[in-house]
Amino acid sequence: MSEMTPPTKQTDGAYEDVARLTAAAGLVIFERTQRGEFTLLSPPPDWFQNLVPNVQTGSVVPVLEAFPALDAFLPEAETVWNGKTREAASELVSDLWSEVQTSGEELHFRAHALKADGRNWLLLELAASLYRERQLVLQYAHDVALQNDTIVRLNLEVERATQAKSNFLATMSHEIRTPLNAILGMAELMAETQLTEEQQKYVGTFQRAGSNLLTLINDILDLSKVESGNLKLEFENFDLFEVAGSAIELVQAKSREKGIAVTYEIAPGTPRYLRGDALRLRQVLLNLLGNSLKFTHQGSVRLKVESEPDTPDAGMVRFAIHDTGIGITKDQLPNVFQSFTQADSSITRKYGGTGLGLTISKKLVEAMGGLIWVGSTPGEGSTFFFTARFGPGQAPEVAPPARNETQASALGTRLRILVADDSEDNRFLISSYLKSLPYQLDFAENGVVALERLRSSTYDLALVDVHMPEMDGYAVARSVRDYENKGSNKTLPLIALTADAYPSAIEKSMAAGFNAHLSKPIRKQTLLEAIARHARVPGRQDVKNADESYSVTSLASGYIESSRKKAAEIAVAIENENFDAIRTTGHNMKGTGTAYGFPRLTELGESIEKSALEKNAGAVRTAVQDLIAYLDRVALEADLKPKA
Amino acid sequence: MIQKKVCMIGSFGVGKTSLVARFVRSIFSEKYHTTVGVKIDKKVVEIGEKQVTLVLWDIAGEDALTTVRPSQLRGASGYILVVDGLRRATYETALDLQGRVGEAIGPVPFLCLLNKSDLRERWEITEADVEALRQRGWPVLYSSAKTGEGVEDVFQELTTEILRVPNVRDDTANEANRRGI
Repeated sequence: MSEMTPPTKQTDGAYEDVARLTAAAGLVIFERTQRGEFTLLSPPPDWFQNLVPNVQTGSVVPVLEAFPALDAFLPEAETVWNGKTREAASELVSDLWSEVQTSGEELHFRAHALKADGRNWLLLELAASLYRERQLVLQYAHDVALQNDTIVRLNLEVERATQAKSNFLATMSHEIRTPLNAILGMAELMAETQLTEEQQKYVGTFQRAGSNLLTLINDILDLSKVESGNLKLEFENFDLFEVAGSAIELVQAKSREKGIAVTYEIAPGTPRYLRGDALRLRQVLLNLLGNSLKFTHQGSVRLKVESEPDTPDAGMVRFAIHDTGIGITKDQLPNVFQSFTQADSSITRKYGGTGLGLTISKKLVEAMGGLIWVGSTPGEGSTFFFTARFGPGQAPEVAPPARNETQASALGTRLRILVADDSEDNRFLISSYLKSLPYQLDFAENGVVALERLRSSTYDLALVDVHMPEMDGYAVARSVRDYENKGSNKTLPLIALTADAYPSAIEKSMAAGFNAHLSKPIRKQTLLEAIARHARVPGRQDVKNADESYSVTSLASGYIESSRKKAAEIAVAIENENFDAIRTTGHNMKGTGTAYGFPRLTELGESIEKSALEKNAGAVRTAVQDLIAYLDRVALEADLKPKA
Repeated sequence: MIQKKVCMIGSFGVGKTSLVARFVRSIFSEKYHTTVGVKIDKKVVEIGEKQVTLVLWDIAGEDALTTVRPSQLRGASGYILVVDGLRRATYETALDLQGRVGEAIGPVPFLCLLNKSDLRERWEITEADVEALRQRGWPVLYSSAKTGEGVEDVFQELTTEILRVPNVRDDTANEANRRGI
């Protein structure tokens, strides 16, 4: 192609129009010659003359020198101009770029390579607004990216911190629980030795404080578990009535101390056998009952269980815990379920506690598909409500007596015990304590009936309430001893049951002919120990060995507690390097664990025995730690947490 | 007159544009603008008796949205790898970029510049990180486009290094580009 002849201003009006137009559009037009040079076709606007001085229409411009940013674009443009592209891709547009003038002013450009009418064109476009728009968009995107960077980094940090917190809690609670178990176990052992009244008071304080601490640690662990989403609910068959009853039973000891009646009522039509997490349900009940009891100084605490009235959902159960306590003011109500919050900080000083119980209860209830709420009138009392959803369950298939039969015959002994008490509740309580043990229980509701039974049958032991209508317990005891003195030589072991714990009451019992005196509330373990200590020959064993002859499930509690003591004993024995004692304890555990339904304890016992034989203190320590951890787990699963 | 292309490379927001503005015009603006595409600036520096025109290519910062293109690097006699001391991510980007730039234009002189030294107490980049760079054989310098600290030195030092090494390669490359080959 030949070179252009530049049109002249003087002769061509159309040219002037084009010049104005291109200048207004911010365009500069070059023709790319066959020699590879760029000839300026349009009249140069002012901005162009600032960048490339001394040019005019028709000049050959060293484009690359003037615009180094075109360095990469021009070789690409050649493919358009030389028609090397397959299709008629007749236009190529460069990226935006900026030229900074010595004054600091920035000019923004875009280049177009065109092929039209067989001629090659290079257009430079002044693209200020386009540049600014793109800059704004990119800047916004960058800001967002930068924020995301920060968020991702912060999230990572939070995640790491949370993980560290969880690890710390898990480690610390284990580290605290291990020595605490030894303290509690030893305190319990010490409480059983001959102590002065003052010493008993001290040991009692150890036990109470230790037990509170353990509860607190368990609460913190629970809360961190719930918060970190590590809580998994069980879905097992359970007996709702039994769960409610046993929760009541557990708080009754405390309630009697305070002189507050704790009762429960299960509304007709409430399903008994359900599927769900009985352990967690009991935990919530205990938390709420304990809480109500704590803030009630007179009157009563009442638990009511019923099918949720406001829903057709058959598995929805509503629990209401009503107390006649101090109540909660309207202002305080919204805070009661928050962590580490009690209605009023002065409450912490007066009543103790961390306020974690209600928070945990709330989370557990929510996990069980329910709701928790509270209504209260200050000075009159509060009612805590919660609902929980359960699946339909099945009644246990095996009837307990059959199991007793087998167990008893396997042991070759079967104690026959008379329970004389006018209170049906107490008879029920004792029968619950002793159910599924190899005992045959007979009942008498007053002294006259008791005496008749004792004369007509042979018993290995009698538990006799001293306050009964018709004939009281003292009279029964005296008659029995009189009867024995007249004929039979057999001395029937008689245990007095009374709510009276004064020394004078004990003396009175002994004078009447009782072998022992138990003060109510009677703990299960105490009763079992008394039976083991006093029952006639077949069952007469010392307390420690008594563990071995009872049946499985209902004795789990006693066995676990005794294992805990053993763990404490071993811990002490390690310090004294008394490997013989450790070996014996390990051996004992090995022999009994499986029989009680805890094969893991047999394994651990074996491992302890073996390590003791090798005098390997480190291995014994490890095994004891495993043992304590296992006992904790079992206790937690069966809600057999050690009690003060 | 000798003319040398020098590229400013690094993550977005590390201060490339501000460094150039400080170096060329002795100004600094707190206002942040992102660079679209490429920004071309020129400055004459004197190394001994020689006058060198630096053509500074301020290339849009690398991130998820923008990638440094080899075509923008072509013909560069040297480059400055800019890191924001406040953002550790920009350090990682620099490590990655250096590898790619090296592949694209070969072993030309470069400097690693840790910018925003006026905010040193808030830095995420540690002494150990800096040491790690030096272990790689990278020349590391500190600067603050805001206060001007170290800025002049950076360009002086890089230009000296560019003049010191044989420059046949980049001159031929530039020539080839100029011809559109």
